[in-house]
Amino acid sequence: MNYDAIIVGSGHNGLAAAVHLARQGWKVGVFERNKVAGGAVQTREVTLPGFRHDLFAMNLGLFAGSPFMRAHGEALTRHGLAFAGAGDCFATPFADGSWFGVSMDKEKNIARAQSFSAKDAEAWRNLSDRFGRDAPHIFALLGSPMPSRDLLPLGWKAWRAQGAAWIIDTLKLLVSSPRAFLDQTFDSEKIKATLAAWGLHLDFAPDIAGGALFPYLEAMADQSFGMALGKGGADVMIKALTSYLKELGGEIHLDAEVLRIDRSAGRATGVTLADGRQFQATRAVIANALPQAVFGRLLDGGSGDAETDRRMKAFRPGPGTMMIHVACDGLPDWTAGDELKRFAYLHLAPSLDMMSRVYHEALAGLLPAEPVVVVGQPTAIDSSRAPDGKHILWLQVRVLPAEIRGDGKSEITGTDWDQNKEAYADRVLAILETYAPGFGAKILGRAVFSPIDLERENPNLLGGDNLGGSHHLSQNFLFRPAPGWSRYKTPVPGLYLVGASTWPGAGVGAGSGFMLAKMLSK
Amino acid sequence: MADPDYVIVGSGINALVCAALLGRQGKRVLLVERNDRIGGCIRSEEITAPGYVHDVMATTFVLFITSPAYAALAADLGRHGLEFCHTDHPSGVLLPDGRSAVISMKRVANGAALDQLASGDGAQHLADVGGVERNAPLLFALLGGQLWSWPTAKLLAQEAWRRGPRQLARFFGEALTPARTWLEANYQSDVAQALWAPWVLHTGLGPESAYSAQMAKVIAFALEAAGAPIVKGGGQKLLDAFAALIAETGGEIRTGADVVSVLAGSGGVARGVQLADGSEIIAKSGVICSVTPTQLYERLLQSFDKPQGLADEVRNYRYGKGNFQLHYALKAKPRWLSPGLDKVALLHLTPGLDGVSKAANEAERGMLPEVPTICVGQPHALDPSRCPEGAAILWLQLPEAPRHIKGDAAGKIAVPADGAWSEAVREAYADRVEAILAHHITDFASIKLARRAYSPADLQAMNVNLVGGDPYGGFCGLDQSFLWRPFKSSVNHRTFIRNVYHIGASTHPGAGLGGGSGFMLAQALR
Repeated sequence: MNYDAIIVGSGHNGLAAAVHLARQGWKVGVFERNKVAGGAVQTREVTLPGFRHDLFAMNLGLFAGSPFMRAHGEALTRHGLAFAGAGDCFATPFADGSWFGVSMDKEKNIARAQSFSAKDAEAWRNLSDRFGRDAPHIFALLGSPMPSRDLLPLGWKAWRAQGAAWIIDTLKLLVSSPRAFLDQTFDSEKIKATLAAWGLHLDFAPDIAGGALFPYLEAMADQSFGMALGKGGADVMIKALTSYLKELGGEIHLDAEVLRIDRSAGRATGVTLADGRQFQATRAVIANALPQAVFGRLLDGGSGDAETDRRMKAFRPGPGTMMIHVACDGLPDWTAGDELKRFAYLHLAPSLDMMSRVYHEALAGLLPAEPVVVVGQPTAIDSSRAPDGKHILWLQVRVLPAEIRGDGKSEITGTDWDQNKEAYADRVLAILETYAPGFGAKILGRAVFSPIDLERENPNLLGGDNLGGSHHLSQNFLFRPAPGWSRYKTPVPGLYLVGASTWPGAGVGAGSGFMLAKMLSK
Repeated sequence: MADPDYVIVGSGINALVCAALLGRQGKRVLLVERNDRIGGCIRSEEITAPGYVHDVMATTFVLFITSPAYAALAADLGRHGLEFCHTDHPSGVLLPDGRSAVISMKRVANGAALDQLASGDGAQHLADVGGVERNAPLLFALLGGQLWSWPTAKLLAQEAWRRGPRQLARFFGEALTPARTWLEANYQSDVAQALWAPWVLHTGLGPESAYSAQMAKVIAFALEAAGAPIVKGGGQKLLDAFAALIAETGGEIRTGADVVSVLAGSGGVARGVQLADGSEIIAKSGVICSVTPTQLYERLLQSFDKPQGLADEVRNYRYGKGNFQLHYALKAKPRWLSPGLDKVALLHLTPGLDGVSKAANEAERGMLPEVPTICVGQPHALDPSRCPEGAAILWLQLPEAPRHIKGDAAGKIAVPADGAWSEAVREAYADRVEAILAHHITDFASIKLARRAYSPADLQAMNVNLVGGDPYGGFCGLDQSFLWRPFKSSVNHRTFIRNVYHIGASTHPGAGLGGGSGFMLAQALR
């Protein structure tokens, strides 16, 4: 059977590439080893009937505002895509009963900052102004292939608009650690902690160079645009993409594991499935998978470029993640105030020092004594995800070891995640209990996914890393996934790489899929 | 003395290099130092017992003898008595269980030794140091050259042309890798990982810092090429040689002379400096300050109108972890329980990569590390003249100490509420270190004659530029290095005043005894 393009893996970047190519008239086939499309965007009733949990990714804000959405949003809406917008985006409660949070209302955020420090209120206003100046240039950078000729005019435009000092300043921001950036911007340790928690979402502890950008962008983008969840579940986006793809003549093969990428005269020409079936691609094979898998397994015998194979296989995953899905009678009664019940995300991460400690414990293989807990409250935004009056929580435990070598608290013995995950989930819920006493009694059911369970669900979540690889500077920008291979090409002609492991990295923004499809169909 | 051409404020290695070179270029130089002696972090003294000469802070001159500054000054300094002492074994590591590894100055032998630890680690080592050698022109231009300059721009363009953009990107991508990523991915043996992990601390970084792998590889290369030399007779001999050379070229050194401000002249330039006793010194060509940005902008230049934003940059300048020094006078040479360590110049005691990571992180968070990384120098093994015959000296440096103490990671040492280093905390912490050391040496208690500890606060009291005991003149992370050291607005060693210049560890190329900033400025003022 012949296609113009074969896409290996049905993560949202693969689907985005498929949709855009199909829209340009290409005949595309998507091959997915699981029984459901969507990669890390999955919604399932894993606790009790009627409770719909986003298993991994939940926030679709990047997708809602993406260039891909601008190009295909109308059709996707026709195929059922709908968002539930969150105006109260993220917050951090503290042990003393205070909290700081970011909503889609600048003056409200400034007033909150004012309660901690008048200087920080001013700093927040300045940062908001700065974002207004930075945003067009930074989003243009994140939305351009890396590197590309577009970067020159882009840099020139930025230079003309903002001057050389702005460029040097922005370059410095790109390499700064969260702590460096936050220390020089704010006085209040609480405001710093609230923002720094976002660094950990991309493998940036407070002292890691290159981690400043994300807390800054997340805070300011949320203030400007809010967050967006999928109406009824994140999978509404996958359903719309697959349905639209079929309308365009594309084909999706589920339960169809690709065993090998086939080559002829050095060029990628198709795939062989685990069941022996073969399919040809005349123009492109697009792998939406980890580079380790593509270069370590799918390219039987290597790409022919041993040095690149070595680098791709050495691509470093981020730390592991645990997911705890909870079905409950009601949202937590936050000691810090009922207003917190309106927020999409809360971080239980009260200080930079504690985040720094967690990170180093995890890297050394220890179960963190007090991990960072991300509490998602999707039913605060979209009540349709649970039966009437009921709620769900989406708990993400950040920065865990994939292989356990010990416990930072010396309580949990044993090194097997399967045996330890419930005990560790108990520790997490006990932490939640200290911020919202009585929540334990509201729990109706829970489902725990250890880092290893995440990998079992999706082999691209290697060791529970949901980022498609660490975003440290040596693996980002020009260097993602490997220096010299940031434009989705590989040493094998006709074979391309997309997904979170490629520029512009993790997040549900369809960036790599859309950029590659545009390059191919130009 | 008639009015000098240049007044140099401070007398650390960069100031000395700059003064000597300017003097040789025919300029009249006056070097003023607030302390009672010159040298900055170079200071040798009998601090424990008579007849035992200790380098109180810096001791290893590998970066100096491999520097362009030394290449230019070696003959003159040698004429004035400077000599270095070497050992064949510059570095090693010792783990708590007694396993150890030692490296020599022979690359092939080191490869073989690492292969003994784990097959393949030797080849990796050869590839790593070979890579430094292959990339040396580009690497050392960026690590040690004037960044905003035509030669650097030209070199980058040439390299891009020669390698192709993809290979140049590969170079920079690799250069940004953290040491942990490099060591875990490439070295099988935990002893090999433990051998290199502590070295990143000596560059002001931690194992998770961007570009720490590159720094560790550069150090591995330098240790093989030049060893870990110390000054024969103590660091003071190097200072004496510099002082003699500066005097010979018509320069002058004034100690006990605290500069309180730079004097404004007409036309927005500086005309000299004012000392604490009210006297003024006129500088005909310029004022060169080898101090931290805090000292320079908040003290020396306080009377100047500063450009917009500069005050913020000064306030936001960050200092790194503190340093803790511990010195021992021993009656006899230490007998290590693990064999082969007697001649090692700098031996690291660490539980390994995770241990370095943990201790560095604890110090960053303001905690006294539970198990600190200990660097043990054995100067008597290189230079017997430092102590009575048959006796020994140990030089211990702990690169992970909190500037301001929030607590004890081991939960044992009570910490003052104000977070300041007290004598009690210092001695209790020294006891912790001594227990680890004694665990590895036969009968340590019986050979111990005297010890002397310096907390980060003590170091700062000795040298005002060691803020919080940070010996590197400021945090060395990527966002405060290279183009951005000390500030994002910095251009080479110039300041906003045309004839005031800034050198020292706080400026590019940063800390270490390479004298780089002093050398580059002297070149630029030719």
